[in-house]
Amino acid sequence: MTKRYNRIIAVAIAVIMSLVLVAACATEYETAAPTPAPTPAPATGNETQGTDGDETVATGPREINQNNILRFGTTSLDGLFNPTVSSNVYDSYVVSLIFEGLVTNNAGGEFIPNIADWELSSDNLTYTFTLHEGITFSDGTPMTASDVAFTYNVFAHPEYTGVRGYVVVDFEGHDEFKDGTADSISGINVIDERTISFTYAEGTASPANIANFGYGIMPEHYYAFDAWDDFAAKFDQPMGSGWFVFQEWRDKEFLLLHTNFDYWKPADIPLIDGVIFLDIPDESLAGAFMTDQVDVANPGASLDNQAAFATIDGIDVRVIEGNSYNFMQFNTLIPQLEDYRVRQALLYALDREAFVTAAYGALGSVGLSPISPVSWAFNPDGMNPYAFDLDKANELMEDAGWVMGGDGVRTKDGNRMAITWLVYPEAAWPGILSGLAADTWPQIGVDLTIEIMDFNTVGDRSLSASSNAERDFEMFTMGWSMAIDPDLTGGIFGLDEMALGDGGFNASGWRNEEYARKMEDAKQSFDQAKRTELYNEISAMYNEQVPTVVVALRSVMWPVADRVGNLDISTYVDWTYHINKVTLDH
Amino acid sequence: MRTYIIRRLLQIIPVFLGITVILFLIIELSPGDASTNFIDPRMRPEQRAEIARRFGLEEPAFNRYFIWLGNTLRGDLGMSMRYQRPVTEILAPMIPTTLTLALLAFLFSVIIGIPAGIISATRQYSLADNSLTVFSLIGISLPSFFFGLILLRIFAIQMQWFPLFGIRNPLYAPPNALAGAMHMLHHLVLPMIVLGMGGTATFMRYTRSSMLEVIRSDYIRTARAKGLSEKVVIYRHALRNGLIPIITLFGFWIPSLMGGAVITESIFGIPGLGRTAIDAVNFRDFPIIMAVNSMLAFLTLLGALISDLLYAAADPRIKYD
Repeated sequence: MTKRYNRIIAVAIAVIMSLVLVAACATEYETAAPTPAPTPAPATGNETQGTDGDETVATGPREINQNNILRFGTTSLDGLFNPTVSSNVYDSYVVSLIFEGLVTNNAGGEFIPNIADWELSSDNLTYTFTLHEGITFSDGTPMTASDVAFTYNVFAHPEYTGVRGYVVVDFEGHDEFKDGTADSISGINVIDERTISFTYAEGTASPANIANFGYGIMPEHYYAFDAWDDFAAKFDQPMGSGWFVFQEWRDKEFLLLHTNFDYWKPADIPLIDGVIFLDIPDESLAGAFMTDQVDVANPGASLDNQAAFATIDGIDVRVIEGNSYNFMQFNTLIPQLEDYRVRQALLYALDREAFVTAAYGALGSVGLSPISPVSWAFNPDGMNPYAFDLDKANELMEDAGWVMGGDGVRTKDGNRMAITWLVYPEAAWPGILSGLAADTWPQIGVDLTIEIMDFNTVGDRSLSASSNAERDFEMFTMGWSMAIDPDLTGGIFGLDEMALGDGGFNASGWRNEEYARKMEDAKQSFDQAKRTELYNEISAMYNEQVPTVVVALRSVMWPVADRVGNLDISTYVDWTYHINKVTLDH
Repeated sequence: MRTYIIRRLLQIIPVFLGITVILFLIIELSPGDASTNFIDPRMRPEQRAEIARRFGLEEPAFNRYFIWLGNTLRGDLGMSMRYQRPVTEILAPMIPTTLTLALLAFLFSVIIGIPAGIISATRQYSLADNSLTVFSLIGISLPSFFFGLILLRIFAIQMQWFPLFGIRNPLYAPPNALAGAMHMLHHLVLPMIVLGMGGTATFMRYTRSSMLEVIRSDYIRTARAKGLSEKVVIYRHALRNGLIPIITLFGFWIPSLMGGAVITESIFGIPGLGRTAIDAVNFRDFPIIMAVNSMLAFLTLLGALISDLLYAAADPRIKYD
């Protein structure tokens, strides 16, 4: 009996131990061992002429030094490493390191040639691009105009699953292609091996259109597909013409890129040997910098993080004026919020200075206008900052005809000044902001209810509701980001039908024909002085009417280890743009 | 016995189906869906509608459940909305990692918890018993995320004895498979302690009370009266019977290990099922949520069955027919 019992236990232990070993081996190293640098394709050779002509640089394989790989701290990658479908910002960094777009932008937000020069026709509708000479993908195949055409046709594919349909939607012949009445988009024309033109449909010319040509070009011979799923199967095995070559991705662990030593412009081959994205939990990121396990990251600029990173030795915390902001939107279709004086009163009774200090410390500022302060179109003159002033707020409420009732809540025509604010807990700031309002708004006779629900639900009831009938909110707050061009149509400040109609992003219900036209004019004009003037008018109007308000602008922080040299980051230039110049002490 | 096992296995089927219906309803009733994650400021309304259609979010819930069930029975767990790849492909590499961690935590709990329980019981109210009791109460009540962060602070940041995150250093190439396994085990020591903490304390408390009960029974007095040594009395006579209730705990411990993995894996940055599950919930990635939760439900049912069978194996008085 005893023996039998012992045997059972022994067998059980043996089984468990072997399971542990099997499991350990199953997740074991398969390809993480150092990979030798790829041998150069015969076409490129070891000595290649730089495109600028007079510079000859020795290239060829270089031994990969594991200490010369830049370590980037990330929280999650989705595996959509494709210029047409990447949607999370970390995936986009990967794409940006592997692929090259026709155009790029400089620190001032101006678009400049990247791998192609362009000309714009006199009617501002047709962009003709000429690819630079000698561009090859990382497998040595030359890039041609048909690769460019292939890439842009993917955005219009009937089964396209990405978020960037807007890139091609204004091309001439897009709709015919999409609904199947045409075999291709008539606005995309390959002229010769290196030349391609894109024609916009009548009435859609805009200086903002050039931004659509920054997306990475994919090699047609590698990505060509019949069924969309075959294309999707290559999302996690990207190949482009850029500085880095994809090696390996392990979900929730790491992604490894090695330098493309056969890069077509040898003078620009990166000085580092690769980039690794390490999946580091938020709580451990500061610790990872302390123990020298990461070189660059972009943690949230919360007060806690500012304090934590400020004390770490051996790193430099860069603060970059961000292009993202928090906004507040009122449902102007309900009686409590239809009068702009009420909305102004609510702003006067909200101490946004105190909010910025509490939520972001030095890394935030009060928002004045829907235009980014970094933009050429921004002008702070005459903008009311709505500095905290309860007397002024009460006065405005009186002017608007809202009379204080016996219970301390204002009323007008039988309506009570009761407002519900939708707050989500995923970020700290909506709670801080609504908490401040909960103290001060009752002092101007507002009965504020804060309703807490998760982010997706707030979105479904407001900004991202699929129709106007499904919008169910009085006010809400959320984060948003601005593109380089100041164009406001179609977004939360848009006054066009696309923004205000079913499924549009502007949930405020606030309409104004005159300013809708101005916004459209500003979008389409190629005269920057005229655009600036129009955007000043639009900003002033928004600053007065306040159906949607930029509450605060946020800066972002980038801790960078001291061993990293020459890393260029600014508002419009992310860390991947000039990474070929980066050096690492090793 | 065999008919009993077959009957129990057959019973699992309707219970499992019932669980999937409830799971599906909970997910269905929870607000929001994955399409919210695919928003770009420059998107057009019709493009957003198209994305919802691509994810099959426009079918009525009733139809979607049966589509899901049909596909699952054929081994197709659907396409993840976030990764846009088959769910099986995403979960497959996660399973061995989570399993390894769960088994290590389980062994840790058993190896520490049961002997500690015996010591406590045999020296009731001694200093050792009291301190172990305090320890186990702390172990049961200390939230694992807090405990995990403390361990990281001390052993990964200050002492640097253990790695801070992940299950390997991807830039380190181990010379052989054994070194690779040791490298990975080194990464799993802290997570194992955190995940096994609750189990250790629970096993200890159960062993203690069960042993105390057995030690007071008549046949132990008889054994002592025969003049057997205390060692023989405790380890040969008392322990065997004292462990019966503990064995039944093993089966039930499986699902709680998987549940604990959600927090432990998130703190230690371990690429496992738990972290995938919590990320999927945040993203509203329904196919992954359904797959992971169904797996968990199945394991729970299986755990209950294993408990009952172990019970019969350990205690000859219990017979199933």
